[in-house]
Amino acid sequence: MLVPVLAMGGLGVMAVMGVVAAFVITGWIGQPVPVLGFEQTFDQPIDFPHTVHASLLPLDRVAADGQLMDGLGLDCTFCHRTVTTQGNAGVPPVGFCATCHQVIGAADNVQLSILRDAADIIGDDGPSPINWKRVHRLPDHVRFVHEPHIRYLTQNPSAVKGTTDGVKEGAAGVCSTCHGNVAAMQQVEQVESLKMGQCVDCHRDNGAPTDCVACHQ
Amino acid sequence: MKLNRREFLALTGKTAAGAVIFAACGLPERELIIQSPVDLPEDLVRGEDAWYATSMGDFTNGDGVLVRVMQGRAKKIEGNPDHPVNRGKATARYDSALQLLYNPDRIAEPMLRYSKNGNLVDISWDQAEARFKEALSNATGALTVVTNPLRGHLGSVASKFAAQYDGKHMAFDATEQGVLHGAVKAVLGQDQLPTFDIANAHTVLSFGADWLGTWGSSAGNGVKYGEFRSDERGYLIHAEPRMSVTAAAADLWLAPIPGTEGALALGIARVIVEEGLVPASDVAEFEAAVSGGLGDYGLSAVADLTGVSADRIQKAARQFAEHTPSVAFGGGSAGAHTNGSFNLGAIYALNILVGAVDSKGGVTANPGSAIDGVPASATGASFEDWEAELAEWRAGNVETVIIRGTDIVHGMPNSVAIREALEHVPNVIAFGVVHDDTMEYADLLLPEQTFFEAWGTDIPEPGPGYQVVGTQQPVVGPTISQDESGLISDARGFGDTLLAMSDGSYGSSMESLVKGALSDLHGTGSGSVSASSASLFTNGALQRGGWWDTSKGASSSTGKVRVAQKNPGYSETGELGDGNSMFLMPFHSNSMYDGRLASSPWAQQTPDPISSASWSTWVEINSKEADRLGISEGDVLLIRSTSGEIEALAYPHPGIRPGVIGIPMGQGHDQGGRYAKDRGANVLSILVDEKDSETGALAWAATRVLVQRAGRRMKVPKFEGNVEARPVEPGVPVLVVGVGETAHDAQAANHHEYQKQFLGGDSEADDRE
Repeated sequence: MLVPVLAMGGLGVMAVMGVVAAFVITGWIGQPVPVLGFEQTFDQPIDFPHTVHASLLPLDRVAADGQLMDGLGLDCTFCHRTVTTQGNAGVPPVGFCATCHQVIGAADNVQLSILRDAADIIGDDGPSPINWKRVHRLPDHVRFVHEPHIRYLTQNPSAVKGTTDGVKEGAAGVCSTCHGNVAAMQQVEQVESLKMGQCVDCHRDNGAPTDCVACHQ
Repeated sequence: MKLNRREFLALTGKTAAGAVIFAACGLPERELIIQSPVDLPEDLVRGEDAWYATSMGDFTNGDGVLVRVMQGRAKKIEGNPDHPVNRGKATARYDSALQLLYNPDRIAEPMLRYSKNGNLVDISWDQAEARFKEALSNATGALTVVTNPLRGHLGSVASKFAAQYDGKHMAFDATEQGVLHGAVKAVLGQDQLPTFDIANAHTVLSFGADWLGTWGSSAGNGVKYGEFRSDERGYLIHAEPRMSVTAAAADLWLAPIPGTEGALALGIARVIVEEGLVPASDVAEFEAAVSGGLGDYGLSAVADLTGVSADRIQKAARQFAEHTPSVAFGGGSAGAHTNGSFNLGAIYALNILVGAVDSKGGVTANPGSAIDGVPASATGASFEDWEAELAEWRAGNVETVIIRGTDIVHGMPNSVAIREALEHVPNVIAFGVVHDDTMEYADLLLPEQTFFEAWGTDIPEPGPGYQVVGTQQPVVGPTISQDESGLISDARGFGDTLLAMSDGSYGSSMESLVKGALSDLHGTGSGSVSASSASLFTNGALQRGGWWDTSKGASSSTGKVRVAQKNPGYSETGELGDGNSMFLMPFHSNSMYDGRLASSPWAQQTPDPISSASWSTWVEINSKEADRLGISEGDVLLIRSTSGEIEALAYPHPGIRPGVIGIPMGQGHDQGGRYAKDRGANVLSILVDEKDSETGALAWAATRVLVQRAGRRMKVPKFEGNVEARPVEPGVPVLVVGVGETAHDAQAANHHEYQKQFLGGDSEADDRE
């Protein structure tokens, strides 16, 4: 197909190069890495702090009673309940958040008000879902299943990279390998490239399959 | 920078192309969204299925099923392996019932007809309830609740509701089982239908009942049949004028003249007695039960009467008496004659002769209901009672009729003029899932929940020989339509709606009734579920699909055959004009039964096991007789009785007795949704009002018809014969395709000839030369 286009001379060459460049550029935009300076995080509908929920450490944050807060230290799987059993890590439903936050947290907390409104605890516009913005996204042609990765890393702690606030045990102790120390992030951002090279390196290091169909659909 | 016109246009084009490419390769906004739903019920966990145990009483005789639910949607129905009746097995009818839940023609909301000739208009449930109350306000003493035969709590609620208004609860079954219940009661002294220990029998002798296809729990019967044929292979003798699924599986198939099944049974008994094949004590007990004696049933007389050869009668008798344990039972068409009670009585009395009553491999009695006031047995009101009831309707003595679970307009013969009777009832309230023929005459139409969505109990009939209570629970919530524009149906349960309209003295909701009953069962301290509290017991029973207690059995007390009319009577065809007079043998569709599943396209397209036909109504006629009459497959036949006429497609085959035509039930709906409407013909409509002399039941196999070619032809939609039959042998090519030849050409030209060479046939014949 390229031959007749290239036969058009300079214009044809430019067209082919333009298409290739567009493909490469949009590829990077779709899965950016820090070196190009693209955003690795998004403002979310609710300013959800992983620090408060997942961290084990004292926080630079003042609670409703005026005291400095400690992190709750919730296990990652407390909210991402399907990560150990399924492909998708899962985000908790609004009703799940409201289990605690219908009573916990100040009544005038603006961020919690958004949540309580969505759960229909306050307001009169009925329940509504929350559309979070995806931070970690793999291309459509990649089939990634969380369950075997969590299982392998849980059984082989030596393969785990980084820590989640010092936790290196159990399912919650392995997430940092790909997601970094989320417990220390006020706003979640992507810290690993999650490019094919990283996947293949890790698979090779750990004796996992590296044939194409292991990941590509 | 100077741009000439040509450069400007080129740059504009490139910019536009670039914009398109970038836009096309970019990420849609929606792909960057992860949604937190408001609630996450357990069913919504991605990729995980949940299996709920429940019952589907309207479509089975009490089988237990498991429904696979993913993300809140029911996906598949299987047999419940724990359930004592069907033990994990299923039939095609189970799967087809799934399509009632998602049927595109489901009634979405209540509808009202303001005048008898008006159109139905959508109304709210509040308006519907107000109209319902208005219909009940003048109905005291003039109310009839019409349902299918209901066991379990729904039957109890319907009866109590009718009683509250001093009205009647009448069940309708187009192929009523009253004759069978009467015969079992008379001969075996049982109030419930008994169970047949086919699994442990060495010989089974069945009459008329297609128990492997459509009679009783055919899934449960199939399990027993598997055991019957295992180890020491059991011998099956089946008597039925047409080759049903059961007849096809039989070692010895007897095809008697319709209505002579009782005489055939007594002919077999006489051979057994004369040849001294059973102990004298059993003979004495048998002769006490058959008050008329066996004097009229000599071998040659019975052979002449039944049309079954003396050799075959003798063979059946010897096998039945010598290879015990043996069991005999009958039903279906064998009881659907003017002498139906005699036929079935004689058949069931055979068990006395071979000592099969209450013994292993014989007939086992079933106990009554485990729950007080909840029926364990149900059958339709007799045709005689229905004729009397319809006369009341016509006379204006019935103010309100509530109909549920049965399509009486489709199921009743033309002779009773059901449409006209309904027009005389001021308030006709119909519940249903899909619009049926009866709803054309409804003033108020209420969308009813399917068994997937409603609470209930179902007591199997026949049971397994001990007490069983099957549970029915909602396995899905109200289902959202595919385009997410709203609910598929804003339906409510029949029981819940009646309870909401009642005085509240017999319950507030079906859920509370079911849970209350399970709590009472917990109090008995016995059975399959053992728990420390009533709530744990309830959960345990719901998880298993019910409760059963193998220690709660029953026994029989043999009585007498109620012999009223020994010889069958048939309707006349003499004044109908030209045509060949034949016996009409209606039979249940293997997938649609009597038509209750006709709105399911899976049921419509499931091929009939004998003819492989689907989506239509066909006429089984003996091949040789068809040749003699010049009838070939696909001829449109006109079938006339004194009650009306229908048209259906001829299907000649050897598996039916000459002089008999078999026509499947289930088609010929005026309504029934897009898959059933105006398809095929309704054989029930042309039945003649002949009745069983004892019970007044409709003798639905006693109609004689005239058969005539209508002069048109249509292809019978069937699988059989669409692919040419060919022998398959190791090393023999199925098809040899030459160079440049298509498979189709090769098949047409040569495959038989090549096969002949390999199989040692005539190798010289080659059509291609």
